[in-house]
This record gives sequence, C-alpha cells and structure tokens, in this order.
Amino acid sequence: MTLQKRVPFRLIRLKNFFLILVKNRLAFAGLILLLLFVFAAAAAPLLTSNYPTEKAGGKLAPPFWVSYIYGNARYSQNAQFGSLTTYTNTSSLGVSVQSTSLGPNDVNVTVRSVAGGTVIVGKTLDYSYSAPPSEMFGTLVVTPSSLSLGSSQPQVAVFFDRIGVREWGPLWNDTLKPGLTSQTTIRSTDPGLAARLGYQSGTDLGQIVFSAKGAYRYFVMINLPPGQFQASFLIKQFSMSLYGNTYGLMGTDFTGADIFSQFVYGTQLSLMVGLIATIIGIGVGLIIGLLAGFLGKMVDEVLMRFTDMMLVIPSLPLLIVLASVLGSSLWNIILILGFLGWMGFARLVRSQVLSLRERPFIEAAKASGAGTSYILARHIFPNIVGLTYVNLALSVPAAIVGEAALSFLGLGDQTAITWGKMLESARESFTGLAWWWIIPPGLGIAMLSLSFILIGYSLDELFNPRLRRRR
Amino acid sequence: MPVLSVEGLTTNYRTLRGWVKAAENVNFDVEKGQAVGVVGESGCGKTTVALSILKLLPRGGKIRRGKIIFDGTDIVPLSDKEMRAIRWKGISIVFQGAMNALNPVFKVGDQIIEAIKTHEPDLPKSDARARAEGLLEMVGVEPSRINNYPHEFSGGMRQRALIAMALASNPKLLIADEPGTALDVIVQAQVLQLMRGLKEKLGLSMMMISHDLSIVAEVCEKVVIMYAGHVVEYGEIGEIFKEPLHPYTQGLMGAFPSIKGNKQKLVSIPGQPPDLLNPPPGCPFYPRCPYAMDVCKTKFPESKKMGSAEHYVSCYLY
Amino acid sequence: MGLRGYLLKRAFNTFILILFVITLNFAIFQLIPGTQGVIANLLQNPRLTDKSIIGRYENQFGLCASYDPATQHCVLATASQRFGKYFVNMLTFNFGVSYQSGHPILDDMIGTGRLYNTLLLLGVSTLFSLLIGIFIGVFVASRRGTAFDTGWVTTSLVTYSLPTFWMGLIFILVFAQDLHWFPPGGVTPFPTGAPLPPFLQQIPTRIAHLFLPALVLTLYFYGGHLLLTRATMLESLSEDYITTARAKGLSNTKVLFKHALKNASLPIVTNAALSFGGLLGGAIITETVFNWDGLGHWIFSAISYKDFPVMQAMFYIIALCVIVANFISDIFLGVIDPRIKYE
Repeated sequence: MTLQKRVPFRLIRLKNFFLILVKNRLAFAGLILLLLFVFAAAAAPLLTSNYPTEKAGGKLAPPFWVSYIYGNARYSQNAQFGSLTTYTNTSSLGVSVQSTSLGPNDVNVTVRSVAGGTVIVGKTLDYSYSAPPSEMFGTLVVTPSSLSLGSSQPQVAVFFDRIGVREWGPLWNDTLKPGLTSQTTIRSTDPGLAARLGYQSGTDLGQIVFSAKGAYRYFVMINLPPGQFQASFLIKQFSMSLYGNTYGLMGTDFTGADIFSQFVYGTQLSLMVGLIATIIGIGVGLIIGLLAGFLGKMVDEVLMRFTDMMLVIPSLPLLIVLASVLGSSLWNIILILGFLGWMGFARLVRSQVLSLRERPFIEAAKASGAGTSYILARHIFPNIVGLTYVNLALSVPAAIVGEAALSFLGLGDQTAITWGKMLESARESFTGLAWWWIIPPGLGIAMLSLSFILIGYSLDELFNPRLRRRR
Repeated sequence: MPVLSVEGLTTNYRTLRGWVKAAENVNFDVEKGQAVGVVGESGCGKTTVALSILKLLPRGGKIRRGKIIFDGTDIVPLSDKEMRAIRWKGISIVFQGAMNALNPVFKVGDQIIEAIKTHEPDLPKSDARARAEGLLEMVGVEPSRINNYPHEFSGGMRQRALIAMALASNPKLLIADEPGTALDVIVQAQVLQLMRGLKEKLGLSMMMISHDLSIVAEVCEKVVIMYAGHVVEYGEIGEIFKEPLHPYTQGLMGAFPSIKGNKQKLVSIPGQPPDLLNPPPGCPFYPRCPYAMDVCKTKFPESKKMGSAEHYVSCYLY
Repeated sequence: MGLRGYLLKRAFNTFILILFVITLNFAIFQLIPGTQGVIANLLQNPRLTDKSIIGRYENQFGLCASYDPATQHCVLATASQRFGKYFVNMLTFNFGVSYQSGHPILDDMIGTGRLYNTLLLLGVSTLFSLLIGIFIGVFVASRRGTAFDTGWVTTSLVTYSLPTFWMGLIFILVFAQDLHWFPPGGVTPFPTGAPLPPFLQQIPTRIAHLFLPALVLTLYFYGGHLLLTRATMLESLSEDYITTARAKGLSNTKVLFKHALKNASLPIVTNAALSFGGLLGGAIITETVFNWDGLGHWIFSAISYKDFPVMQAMFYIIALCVIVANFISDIFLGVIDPRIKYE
C-alpha cells in the first residue's frame, strides 16, 4: 500500500471517529463529561482558592447555596474585617499619631503624647448575615520600640464593637515592654474567652457578638501612660476571620477544609490512577495476548492457563492483600491495579490474533513472503488498535473504583486526598454523615466512570464491525 | 369452501427508514385436501405470507390490509390469545430442518409432546408420548430416538422430526416453509416424497413455500408465483407449466433444466429484484422485463383470468 | 467425551487452580519483610505469652524445621520445607492464630457467627439480585426498544456503575440518619453475652438490620445480571426455535421462560459463578460500611491491625469459594446444555 492510499484511509477513520462521537448522543455526553473532568484536573489551582488540607471555613459547613433552599435566616458565610485605620480617641488631647501601612494586616504606629491618651487601630466589617459565624479566628502581634518613658508601660487590649450599639472586650490584654513582642491568637472556640467576658464558659463568642446584621469593628487599643511619651508600635498580623456556617460550592469537612478543593484535586489523582493503571494493564495484556496468539503452542498454553487462573482469583481481596503487604503509596496502588488488570484484555487480543491469523489476507501476505514481524506490524497490530482503544476506555472505571475502594478501606495512600480517601474520612469522622461531604466524591467516581464507559461503548461500535449500527 | 383464503393481504415491516412492502395485495385459496405452492426468489415475501397467516410476524411486521379467512373466520382481527388456539391445531408449520427450528436444549420427543399437550392439556402424558412415538414412526424416524436431543439427529432426521411435530395436533392446514432446503439432494427428495405421501394418506391441506418451481410441482395442485411482494401469476400447476404467461414465470421456468425435454439454453433473468423499501410505482418486474411497456411503470396490473381453467396473471401483456 | 469425562476434566482444572492459589498466597506472604522479624513481633505480642500459641505460630509459618535437642533452639526451615508445611496446613484448613484475638482463625471465623452473617447477607442479596435481574431482563428483552426497555437498561447501568461503598453511605445517610427507617449498621441490636429474646421476636429487627446492606449488594449486582440476561435473551429470541415455539401456540410466558431462557441461561450461570468473586469483594466493602460483623468486616479490621494470618486465610477461603462456585457452575452447565458434553 502506498502512502497516498493510506493517509486518506486514516483520515476517513479519524473523521468517522469524530462523527460517531458527535452523532451518537451518549458518546457525545461522555466526551463532554470527560472534558469537564480533565479541565477541572488541569485547572485545579485556578479553580480553587484553598489547598485540600488548608482550613477554609467553619467545621462541617454545608455549601453556601443551602441558604437559597432553607432561607437566609440560619446561614452565614465567611467574612473578613477590612482594611486598617488608625486614629485616637476624641478625648485624647495632645496625642499625635503617625502611621505607616506595611500591608493589609500590618502597620507601624508612631505616637507622641503629652498627657496620656488612647491610640486605636481598627478594622471594620459590615456583617450582612442574619446568623452568626460558626467560628472566629484572629491573630495579633505587637512589638513596641523606642519607648521614651521607661517606668510607665502602655497597655494593649483587643475589642469587638457593634458600632453605636455596644462593645465587647477586652478579648485579650497585655502590658507592652520595650523590645518585647506581645502576641495572641483569638479563637472563638476557646472556652475561657467567653468566660473572661462574663458569659457562660464554653459559649462561642461569635454567637454572642455577631448575633445580628450590622457594622462591626475589631480594634486594638493602646492606652498610653500619662506624661510625656513617645513610642512606635509595630502591629503585625492583625486579622480576624469569621468562618461562616456555610462555605463555598461544596462546603467543608470536619477540619474546615474546602471540599470543592479536595474534589478538584481528587479529580487529578483519580484520572492519574485510572489512566496509568489502565495503560499498564492494557500494555501487559497486549504483550501477553500477542505472544500467546502469535507464538501459539506451548507458549499459548502456558500463558492462557496462567491468565485463566488469574481471572478466577477474586480481585478485591487480592488487591487488599497485595496493598497491605507491599505498602500503600499511590504508586504502589497504581502498579498493583495495573498488574492485576490485564487478563481480560490478554484473552481478547489472543482470540483476535488467532482469528486474524486464519484470514485470507494474512495467508496472502505470508504467501508473498512477508516475515513475522512485518505481518505483526502491518496486519495484526492495526487490527488490534481499535480493540485497544475500546478496552482502554472500558478499563479505566475499574481502576478508579479499585483505588477508591482501597482508600475507603484505609489501604490508600494516607497523604493523597483521593475521592476514596474523602469518603473514608467522611465515614470515620464520627460526626454523622454530612451529605455535602459524601455526595461529591461518590458522584465524581460514578460520573468519571460513566464518561469512560460511554466513550468506550461507542468506540466499540466504531471498531467492532459486528456491532456497527445498520442504517 | 376453501380451508384458507387469503384476500388482498398486505403486510409491511416498519423500519427506521419507512415501511418495507414485503407483501402487497396477495390473493389465493387453499382447498381442502389440496396443496398450494408459493414460489419466488428469496426476499419476495413468501415467508412473510406464511408468518402473516400464523400472525407470527417479527417485530415491526404488520398486516395493514386484507383478510385471511381460515375455516370460515377472518383471523386478522383475532387477539393473540385466540390465535394461540388456532396455531398448530388449526394451522401448523414445518420450518427448514437445517435451521435451528428445534430447541437444542430439549429432547426432540419432549418438544413434540409439548405441542400435543398444549392443545390437549387433559391428555395423559403417556398417551401423548405414545402419539409422539407414532408420529416419529410415521415420518420414518426410529421411535426409540424420542429421547435424543436435536444435535444427535442428522439434518434429514431433524426435518422429519419437524414434520412429525407439525402433525402432532392434526392440523387443518399445514404450511411447509422450504422443507428439505439446504439438505443434500437425496435427502431432499426423500423429504418431498414423505410430504407427498403424508398429504395423500392424511388428506392434508397444505401450503408449500419454495424457491424451486419443480419441487412445488411434485406436491402441489396449484401454485402462486410471487415477485417483490406481488402475486404475478396464480393457477393450477398444470396450466402454468403448460403455458407460463407472466414474463417472470417464463424466466423462472427457463432457469432450471428439464432432463426429459429438449436440450435448451438455460436462461437467467438479468438484474436484481427491487428494494422493497422504495419499490417502483408500477409493476415491480418492469426493470427486468424484456416486454416492459410504458404502462408498466405507472400501476400494478389487475389480475386477469386466463383460459377456462383456474389461471390468473397480472400483466399488461394480456 | 461424555458428561463424566467433562466433569473429570473440570475437577482436575479446579484442583490445579487450588494449587495455584495456595502457591500465590505463600509467595505473597513471603514478601512480608523478614519472617524472623515476624516471629520476633509475635513473641512481643502481650496476648501471645502462652507457649502453646507460639507453638501454633511456628506451625502456621512453618518456621522451624526441628528443634536442636541440646539447646531447644529452633532450626530454621528452608523455603521449600516451609512451603510443604504451608501447603498441608492450607489443605487441612489449619490457618493458625489471629494476631488480633489470639484465637485460632477457624474458631474466630465460625464460632463468632461471622461466617453465618456473611452467608446470610450474600445469600439474600445473591438470591434477590439474580431473581430481579433475570426476571426483568427477560421482560425487557421481550419488549426491546420500548421505553420500558431503555428505562431499565439505563437504570441498571447507573446502579452498576455506582461504587458500593458510596451507595451504602448514601443509604445510611438517607434511610438511617435522616428518616430513621433502618438502623445505620450492625447485625443485631442485642448486646453480646446478654440472653437473646426468642427467635421469632428477633426476626423483625434482624430483617431491619439486614435490609440496607442486602439492598446495596442487590442493587449493585442485579444490573449485571439484567444486562446479560437481556443480551442473551435477545440472541435467543431471534432464533428459529422461538418462532417454532410460538407457532405451536405456546403462551408468551412459556416461550420466554421455558424456550428462550433455558438457552439463554448458559452465560447467565457462568457469569453468576464468575461474579461470585465480585460479590465477596462487594461484601468486604458493604460489611465495612454497615458494620456488619461478617467475614468482610473481619478482613477490614485485619487490615488495620496488620493481622496477616487472618488476611491470608480469608484470601484463601474467598478464592476457594470462587473456584468451587465455578466448578459448580460447570456441573450445572453440563446438566442444562446437552451439547456441552461433546465440546
């Protein structure tokens, strides 16, 4: 066959391939679905604002859109206090303040006072949710420098304030000493915090403070000692995050990590596991099938007996045993899944080769003096390519589900957050099952599998002449 | 009164691309104790007519017009339940023995007994068995083979067993769909002889489907020549042999050699039968007909009675 | 070749398969780093101070070929000696002792009711999945191309592609956690050791506990049976003997279930036997999800405890079950299909 003759043939095949995929509604749906997953996997860093293990919201927060279903009254979202402003109390006369912003949460304040007074560094927030946040988390680091009045030390304290209504605090206070850094972490879950303010111990302060919509302020107050005074304060990491009781597209897990991010990064892992394990399996199957089919006789007998035996052995128990004996890094699992997934395909290739060997065109090629390798490369292999594609597509789901099952049983890679691992964590978290934590990974497994199945079946229709639709 | 009279039967198959006109306006009668042959090349609608009579059309098949009057009643409007009582007891069928017409996983005898017991549920099993043995013996199969499976039978024996099974409930009409076809010539001749013998012995009314006019001639009194779903010629077999009127019949007669007659050149009909999905509007044979006229393209010709004996032809030549 | 020859051949194949499984199992567990380390681990296990138990461990691993008469020290066995001992142990169901409990594995398997629980769950779900799959498959095939057909094919493809563990979690979430229709897990609510109520009174709560796990396994497996039944029935229904059967005046039910299904049943039976392995795999996961105290759940706890003897024994037993199921299906096929003897 000349080159010119072959190229159009290939082109026609390629064209047919796409025609089938586009014409066949199911195949088209499968292709779109797969492309969506591939896009999600490739664009994971762009799509997500958090890493899978990073705290992103309140613990076990459902997705934000539940508020559209159940009404706004019970739900809040993440909120952050805005930019820093520095000022003094109106009662503080003779205080001059100079502040240099060093970033959104950092500021350097230089103070000069005659008879004492107050310097305030604050952030405001227009809290627009009817429900309080589920947690709050804030930090503050204050480093005073060049205090001119050594004996009387300034005091620092942190407050909340619903502007014009009331004030809560101090959440924390400390005495500033020259050169010594004072720092704090304010957590609403800290049981002592509410008690310090006179509320029942264990109450979440966020529930008390943010019980209504309104303008809020979070501020550091530095009480300057009386007398001539000059100092500068380096205020850093002055932040307060309110974690809403809903978060993001898919909510959070029991540590407050973003489930959407876990889902998207899990897509990467699932695609990787599914594709690599399948490629290994198909490769091994192809080699064994070709060898058995083409060499025949003893080789065939031995290989096929072995294949039959491997086919009979139940796969999940074998996977479990191998994964627990060999260790369960992600690559180990991929290899195990790959090397246990070749048997069916090997048989298929062998039978295809056997039937091809009997066809007249192979006889003709032999008669015209073609060698074994030539026949393999020019006649046998092209006839198996279609079969390979079909099985590639149809085997991926098994690998994906296999990995998920192992992870679910606790045999997965403990450092990789795969869909199976997500389900395991959701089950093991002892908080009851959270639907937003369980549905995405399972649906991901099912949909990704489905996309490969749909594509595989229509490829089968394309490559398997017996199934080709009559028109 | 004829046992079966088919009047204007039109059976089509629904496909994705439209209706396949498998049988159009088919008319013929089967008189009591007589045999009618239905002859035509494969795909001309012979089997469709047979399956229409049993109302066993495959999926998509539908009787769109016409009457099938069996034993005085039109069976076209009958429900499936009413049809079931007619099948086998009224009309039974012999399929090709070479086909998979016997169920491979049941014993031959049990399949015959099943046919008997379906229509005579009160008959004791031992009586049914005895009758099955008798039937096998009648068609020339050792009754002791009753416990064999179909794969243990030869092709000829399977054909005989099918004939025995068809006679299990003493049917009023027997349809034989290409009996003996695909068997070797000697076995085929034996089967035909058996059929003829049975017809004479039991006084069977029969409809025999074949692609071979000479086979039909051996058994039947009348013959229906079909082409592309239409009956082109119909009449007593002697008349038709003596004077084939339709060009297609003439072609059919020319297509097989006569041993006794003069040495003649074998004539084949050039061309292909039309696509039944979109048949030409007029006579379906005109693209292949040596005598085609303009009128042939417009409308299928009415059936005309020729001569004094029963002999009808649908052709503008007459 | 007659039926006997056919069965003899299958029996021989089955035996070879069992040998293969034992060899594979031995080879895999040789991969556990350092058998010496294993015995050292064992000796440190506080539950295993009893000398007789250590003796059983030696038996289990076949570590010692003999004991030095003077020092009573163990003379380590060679790999082939170990294999020989292992082989005999496996054939005689002598699996040794569980790391977790310190009891002989066979006692832990049968005496605790685990085997019974698993057989109950698998039996019920196999029965229902086969019944539903075959019945609906037959009807769907007889109404090919209708909405009924498409609907069932789609439904079974969907349930077939849903992972069992996820289906289980969703059912627990909906039917146990939210609706409180069924308990979220466990085999019975009765505390261990306490006297049980009369058997008849146990039945409703036992069914309630069995319902969800059995439903998951049934839903997972009926789809495969349905699709296969549909496919083989379609093939069988297009055969000439079906037309013969209809022409005989047989009722639709008889044509479908007697003439078509018997011919179609060969691949269904083979597949049912082959899917038995998958069923056991599904049981491991389903029992884990529902805390169903059967063999599967036991395997799960063996995984977290690195209880290799239990895993080894269970793998062997599961493989054995599958092999035996295949053998039974071979016998069954030989009975159903008269042609098979002449293969």
